[in-house]
Formats: sequence, C-alpha cells, structure tokens
Amino acid sequence: MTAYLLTLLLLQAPTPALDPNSDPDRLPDIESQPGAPTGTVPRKPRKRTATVTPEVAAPSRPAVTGRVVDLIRGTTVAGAKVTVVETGATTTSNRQGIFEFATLPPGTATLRASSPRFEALDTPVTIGPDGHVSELVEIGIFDQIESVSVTTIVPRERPAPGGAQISREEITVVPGSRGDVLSAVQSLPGMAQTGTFNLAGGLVIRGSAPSDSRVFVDGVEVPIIFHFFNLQSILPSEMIDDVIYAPGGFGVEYGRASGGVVEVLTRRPKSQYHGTAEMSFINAGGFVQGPLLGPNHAGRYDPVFALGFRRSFIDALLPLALKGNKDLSFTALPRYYDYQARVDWQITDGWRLGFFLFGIDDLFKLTSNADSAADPSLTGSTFVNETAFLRAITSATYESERVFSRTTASGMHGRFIFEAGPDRYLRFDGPGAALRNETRIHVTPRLLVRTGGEAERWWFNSHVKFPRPPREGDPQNPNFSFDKPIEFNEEASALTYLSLWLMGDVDVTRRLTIGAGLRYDGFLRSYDHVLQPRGSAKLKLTDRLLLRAAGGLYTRPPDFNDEFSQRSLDPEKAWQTTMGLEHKLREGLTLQATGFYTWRTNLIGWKTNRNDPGAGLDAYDNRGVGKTYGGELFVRARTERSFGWLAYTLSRSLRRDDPGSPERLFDFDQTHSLILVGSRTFKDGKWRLGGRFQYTTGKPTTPVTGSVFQSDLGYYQPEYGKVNSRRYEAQHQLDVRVDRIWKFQHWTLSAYLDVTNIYMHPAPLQAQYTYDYTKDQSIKNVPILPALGVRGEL
Amino acid sequence: MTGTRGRWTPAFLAMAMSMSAAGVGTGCDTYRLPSDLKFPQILAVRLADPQLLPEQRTAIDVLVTNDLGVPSLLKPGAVEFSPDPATGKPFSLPPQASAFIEHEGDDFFAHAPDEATVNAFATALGLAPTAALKVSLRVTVSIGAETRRADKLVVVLRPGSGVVPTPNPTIKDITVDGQPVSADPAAPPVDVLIETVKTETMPSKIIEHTFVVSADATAGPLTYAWFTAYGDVKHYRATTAIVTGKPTMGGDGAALIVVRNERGGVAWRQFALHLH
Repeated sequence: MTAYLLTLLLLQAPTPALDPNSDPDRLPDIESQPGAPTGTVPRKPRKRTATVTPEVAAPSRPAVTGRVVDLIRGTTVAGAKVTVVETGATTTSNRQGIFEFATLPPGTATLRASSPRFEALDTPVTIGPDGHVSELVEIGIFDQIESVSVTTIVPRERPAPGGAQISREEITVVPGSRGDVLSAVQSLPGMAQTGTFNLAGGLVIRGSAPSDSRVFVDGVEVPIIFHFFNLQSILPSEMIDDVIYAPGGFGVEYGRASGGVVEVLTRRPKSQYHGTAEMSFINAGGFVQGPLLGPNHAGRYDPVFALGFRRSFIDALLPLALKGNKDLSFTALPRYYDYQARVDWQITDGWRLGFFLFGIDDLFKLTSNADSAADPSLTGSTFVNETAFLRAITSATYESERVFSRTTASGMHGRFIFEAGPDRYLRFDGPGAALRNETRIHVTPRLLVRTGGEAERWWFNSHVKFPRPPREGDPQNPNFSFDKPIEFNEEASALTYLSLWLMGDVDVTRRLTIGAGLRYDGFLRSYDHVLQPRGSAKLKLTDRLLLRAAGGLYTRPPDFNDEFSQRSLDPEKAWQTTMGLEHKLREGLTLQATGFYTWRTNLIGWKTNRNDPGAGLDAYDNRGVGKTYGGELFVRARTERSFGWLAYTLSRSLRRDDPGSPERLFDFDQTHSLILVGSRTFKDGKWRLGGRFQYTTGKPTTPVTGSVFQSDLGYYQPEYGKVNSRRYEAQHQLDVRVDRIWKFQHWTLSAYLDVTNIYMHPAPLQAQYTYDYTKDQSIKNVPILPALGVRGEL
Repeated sequence: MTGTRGRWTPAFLAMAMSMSAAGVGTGCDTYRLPSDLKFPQILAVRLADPQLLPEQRTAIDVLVTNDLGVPSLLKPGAVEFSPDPATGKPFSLPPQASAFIEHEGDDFFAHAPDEATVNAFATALGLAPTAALKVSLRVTVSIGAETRRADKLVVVLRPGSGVVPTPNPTIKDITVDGQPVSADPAAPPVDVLIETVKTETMPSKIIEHTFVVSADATAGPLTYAWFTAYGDVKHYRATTAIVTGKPTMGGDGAALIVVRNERGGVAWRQFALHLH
C-alpha cells in the first residue's frame, strides 16, 4: 500500500526531462539498445527522442537518414514503411534497414515505421534550422505477434549476470520442447536436466533443490507450471509474452525463493481477430483473440480479449501403449484440461486494466496389480492424483516514461488430492487471495527506485495420512506399508505471507551503475521475519562489453511438502553472488560468461531419521548447510534464416546435513551440462529443420550395500553406502524437429514432427532393486518420444 | 491452495511413477521372485510369546530355507544374536541387551531382565512410564556359504501399563485348488497337476493353482507371505495366491505360508506338494 500511495503521489509531480542527452554523462543502457529488453514493460519500447545537432548541411545531404531496427532480435528491418506523419511522405527501408527523406521542413516531425509483421511505432525528430537532422535516426520496432523474450535477467531494468534473450520464433521451435515455451526454458544455462518426465518434480536451478525455486504468472505464484509427467506447461505459448528466467542474483521484487525464479508474463491480446487451432498427439486446443466489443471497436483504447482451451489426448493413446499389460490398469485415464480467459483495456495512454483467469484440471487413477515386495500394500492399490486450480488476476497498470506501477489483486481456489490405496491420502483444498503492487520510478535520470509490497493469505483444509515425503539427500523412498504415516487434519488453516521491498539503482558514472536494496518477508505461520539485503552493479567496459555482478540474501519459508506443519522451523537461507561478462562479438553473435557462488544455511533436514516414532510432527530441523559454485557459457548466433545457441554449465553443488557431518553431493548435482540448439529455414520459410543435443553428467546416487530382513514386517530394509557417492552414466540425447508451413490467402497451416531422443539412448534415471536388494536395474528415460502436430492460424 | 501445497504434487507424482515402475519391475522375469523357496534366506523369527513381561523367558525359532528349497529351524551355532548395530534406529539398545538371549541345548530363549533393569533402560531411552521397551535384535545366520541377517523386535511390557500380551496368530485352514491341506506335518503331500493344454488358438497354457489360507487374527490385521519351491507365485502377499508351474517340473516340493500380526506375532505352516 505504501508503494501504491507513493506512486499516486509521484504521478502528481511534474515530470523531469528524460532526454538521455540532458545528462552529458549518461549513456543509454545496453538494455535499451537493439536486441535487448527495454523499459518497464519488456514488450513495449519507449518512445525515443532523436538527437538533434544543428550543423551546416552539404547540398546533396538528405534531411533525415535513419535505420529501422528489430528491438527483439537486434537486427535491421528491410522493407519497413516509414512515414512522416505530419506530411504523409513515405519511404521504405532498404536491405540494410536504412531509409532517407530528402527534404523536410524545420521543426518537429514524427516518423512512423511499420511493417506487416511489426507494430507501428512513432519516433519524434527535430529538424534543425538547416533542414537536417545531423545524426542517424534509429527507429526501434517490435514484432507484436512473433516475438517473445526469454530473459535470464533481473527484471526489468537492471539485468543480473547471465542475461539473455530469445525470441518467440526461436523458443517455440526448439526441438524436444513440442512447441512449449516453458519446456524450452529448460534448455538455458544453469538449469539442470532432469529427464523427459522430470523425476526431480520441479526446476533444479544452479544447484538448488526444486523446493527452492518459484514460478510466477504475472507476479503471483502458481502451484505448478507443468501438467503431469512434465509433458506440457499449463499455459499455451499463445498466452505468453515474456518468460523471465532468473537463475540467481535476482532483484527485490521476487521473494520466498532461495534458488531461482521463473516468471511468466502473459500477453496482451491483439486488436485484430486472430485464432489458432492445434492438435498434436498430446493435446488439442484452440485460441482466439480480438476486440471485445466487435470489429468496429478495434482502436487502441478499446478492450481486447483472448480465450484459450486445451485438452490432453493421453487418455486415448495410453490404452494402446499398455495393451496386454496386466500389471497396470487405469480406472480413470490420465487427462488434463487447461483454460484461459483474458481481457485488457487501455483506458488512457498511461492506464491499463487487465483481467486474467486461468486454471487447470488434471486427473489420473492408476491401479497396479503387480506384487510389490518392498511395499506390499501397494499391490492392487489405486493411485489417484487430482490437481485443479482456478486463478483470477485483476490488474491496474500505470506506465509512463518515468513510472511503471502495477497493482494486482488475485484470488484462487485449488484442490489437490493424492491417494495411494484406501488408507493413505493427501487432500487439500481451499481459497486464497493476494494483493501486490510493484512500482518502478525514475526519480531522476540517474536514479531508479523499485518498490512494492505483497500480502497473501490462504485458507485451506488439509487431511493427511501419508508416509513422510521424500527429501533431498535421503536415499530411502517412503514406504506406504511400513512407514508410520504422518497424520493431521486441519480445517480452515491459514498461511500468511507479507512482503515489502525497496531498491535504488544509481548511475554513478556514465559507465557504472550500482543498485542496493532490501526486502522484508514475513512468514507468519512459522513466526519468521527476514530482512534480505541485495545489490547489483553494472560496468560498461566498451560499447560491446558489459560486466555485471549481483548478490544478496535469499530465503524460502518452511513450506515444502509437510514442512508447514512444523511451525518451529526457520526459513532456509542462501547467500548468492554472481558475476558475468556480456560480449556482443558482432551483429547476431553474442557471448555471455557467468560465474556464481552460493552459500546455503538453515537447510531443513531430518532431525533424526524418516521413521523416528518420537518425531511426530516435529521431524525436521535447520542444521543443513551447503554451497554451489560454477560457471555458465551462453553463445547465441542468429542470421536471417537460422538461429542457434550453446549453453554450457559447469557446476558443483554440495551439502552437509549438519555442520559436523561430511560433505556430500547434492541430489541433482550436474558437473557438466551442455545444450546445443540449431534451427534453419529452407525454401522461403516453408520448411524448418532443427536439432537439439544435450549432454549431462549422470545423476548422483547412493549405493545399496546390503539389506536386512525385517522379521516382524516381512520385508528387506536396505543398507546404504555414502550418500550420493556414485553416479549414473552420463545422459545424452538428440532431439529433432521438422516444420512445414503452407500459407494460404487468409490462413496458415503448419505441421511439425518433434522427436525427443531420436537415437534412443536409454539414459538411466533411477535405480530399481529386487525385493532383497541383491540386484538392481535402472528405470530408464523414455527411449523415444515422437510428437506430431498440426496447427491452423487465421 | 498455494504453491506451498501444490508442491506436494510434483514430488509425489514422481514418487508414484517410480513406485509404479518398481511394482511392474517386481514381476520381471529377469529376477528371482520373493516367494522363491530355493534361495538361502531367513523366512521368519518367532518368539513363542510375542511380548514379554519382566523376567519372562520364551523360546525363539529362526526359520530359514536353503537352495534346495527345504525350510528348517536353525540350531544354536548357526545363529548369532546381537543388539541391532544400526545407528539412528529408533529401537537401538546398548550392548547389554545381548544378555537377553540365552540358549540351552537346541533351543534359544529371550529372557527379559527384571523390572528395575527394564525401567532403567526405558529411562535411558526417554520412554514414557508405561511405554513398552522394544529391543531390536540382529539375527545373523550362516546358510551354506551365505550369510543372512534379520532384525527382530523383542517387546517387554511394563507392569502397570495395562497392555495385555497377545499370542501368535493361528493358521486355521489351507487349501490348494480347493483341496484341504492337513495340519499334520506327517501328512502325505498335496497332489499338484502340471499339464499343458494345447489348442489351435492357444498353443500352450499353464495351469494356475489357487492357494488359500485362513487364520485367526489375535492382534490387529494379518499379513501373509507365500513361498514355494517350484513355479511362480502371484499375489504372494495375499490370502489367495496364484501358483503357476512349468510343464517340465515334477517330483516333490515344499510350500510355506507365513502369517504375521502387528504385534510381533508370527505363525507358519509348511506342507509338501507332489508334482506330476
């Protein structure tokens, strides 16, 4: 609320001049250069004021010479139509993106660049008394339909080390991702590869546990980002504008995460009717957008809408795959729905209202008839998983050259059920509400202030009778037959989070920018209050070389799995430091090298062991410590017809279960992770062929050294060696994707074949033992996963 | 529901997938089945009185099998009892606990200490005044060239706790394909017919035999474990197991059912099968 009031006050204040040239020491940020995210809303470039320096012109010199630049890709745009709004004079940019106007009257003129693929954008210029503009005018334009950025930056103004940006055109055709933007994010540096079905159960970012990272949609957290089995994210790519992937060193706007964050920024619908329909072997769906009040109300200030819906096909295909298997049967075949509805209304130049409703409904029921020696109660048991939520977000956004402020109020109702047999269950349901304001203000041309606050409260009913869930560093799987279950039943329990943050970014010199800030988090259920100092620095070494550093304290509350039932736990803490170099080698070729070090304390682990009968609901403590260090290399290349990147991460992630215990590898430590992506179009864009190669060090594992027969229970208890002292063999795979596009007069048809792991390397994911643990074999990654899809676009 | 509770989702989904895969894998032909009697292993450890009172003495039986598929009770000399050496286990006791075990002649006995000693142990372990003292014993046996280990919980009830000792469960009836199995160890073996059915549409079919057991539950629900010296056993942890043989088999073989309750009670019955 403080931030909101501050915003309102500042909105009343006179606006200082923001012409970059009003400050002779100031250079434009590299982010505002072509090819990088700009401004407070990444998708929308700021209006620019061209530099005007009167001088005597040679008689043959044109009045204005300029260049049209694609701000997303950093490339020039050929064939763009440039119009002088006041006179109606037009010209077209040449192959180098250059345009000229021979004569223009002195004074102010507005140049408007447009292209069939790009949004029209106005750029004011001032013609000197001599009838000329002395410098090259650069007009940045945005591809409204096709571009989406995936940024490994601190949003939105001050990137942290490791920054990168990938266009929608690229990210949606990354092989192996089946056109899913969020799946493709896992091909970026710092993200551990966890197999096609993601047995980690979440994102493993820079050596942090899945529980340490958070996923947001328009600033509010969502329970999950992928449907079951990690096959598809919960939002279709059409709804996504930006995906901000911050592997570490992120700003004060994000909290409750000691690892990394992923924020999905949804897309403002277009003001022209547009629709797509898509069907693949995984799901089918449709998407429409356009003016809400009809085609005659398609102006800038008219409301626009978008609707999306998808349903999975897995329930139709799985019976074919399991035909003849007597050990598994589905009583409810797995299926998922997701749906989205969005309305945006640009009320004035500055104010915009938005409403976004989305949800999912995932269900499967699986009965296993196989004998389970280690866990006999599972024989004949039915597994049930149902995850459903509905979330509504209303937002009011004010945006000017000085101020960006977004206030969101959101509500959600969710339901999560997991049952294993008749007497082991997790059942949660209940509503929640959150209020958030995020504000960025250019107080002066040299000072940017970021501030905001958030309050969330969730009411839920919980009914739990379940074995203790798996924990990092514990090799023993939960046992539904022999583990004493934790039991609690709470009606209308509450989780409350409060947050406030403030950060200032100061341009100390024309090359150096320093930011410092503080974030407060209150985790009221566990009575914890945390202050987290964070900072960043940016040094522009040359026009093409930028040095960045960031760091600070990051915490996450004790709310992973059953942790919230133990109020005595403290938040986990991570001191993160990261430093990186960004080098634009030449047009279309960039290199980023980043190093990072994270020190973790207060890690939550077993107080004694999983089956301590005296532990009750007090099974954990905060004695764990850990560290992660490593480096990332990200090289991207792009030409008119092709793109590609190399993402390599070298890292080491270690843990101690208490300060006196020996150091061990983190469960998902990956020494090497190499991703190579390449894609190229052929035949005037009718065909596209792409490949993605991945190599990662094998996952650590704890060897079983023996077993002891538990006479009273009739099963074998494994004995483990040193935790994570061995590794599975390295994982590597090649994914291939072919696209074919047919363009008709009014619509476009495209088809794709996306094959994951085409040479069928059976990478081991997890050990599976005989009943007495004397022999083992591995659960393997899917040998091959072909996805065939067809898509029509109006 | 917040991300908090939603976070149960991926972790448990991953676990469920893993368990489902493990369940399927258990039935994999590559590996020996847990019901295979022709493999040296400890089958059960039984106290004649599953719970003891201070100073009470009770016999211990250790049932094992060997690679011939012949179950037998072990004699002293082949068995070593010791306190459970595993650290961090909830029921570990100091080394003095090994004094609980005595043997005389061909028999083993668990001998609970006097009440003062029991109370001293209980105090050291931080147990409530009426909580039973549970002593986890490690049983180490040599079967041929193999060494096998098992853990057995000896429960000593505290006077005044009000907990009544419960006996071992009792096996009532066993049938094979509806044919009753005699409780007399000297009874003739149960005939099991192995035959191959051949038709044009079904070239080969293996006959399934149904083994059924019933028992008296003396302390909570019962669990079961079937073992046979031939064939494969499906649902080997259920009251009704399906046993399938192979046409090349013949001769005699043993079968065994072990029944357990939730308070350490154990019962078993062995019977012979004649295969032809």
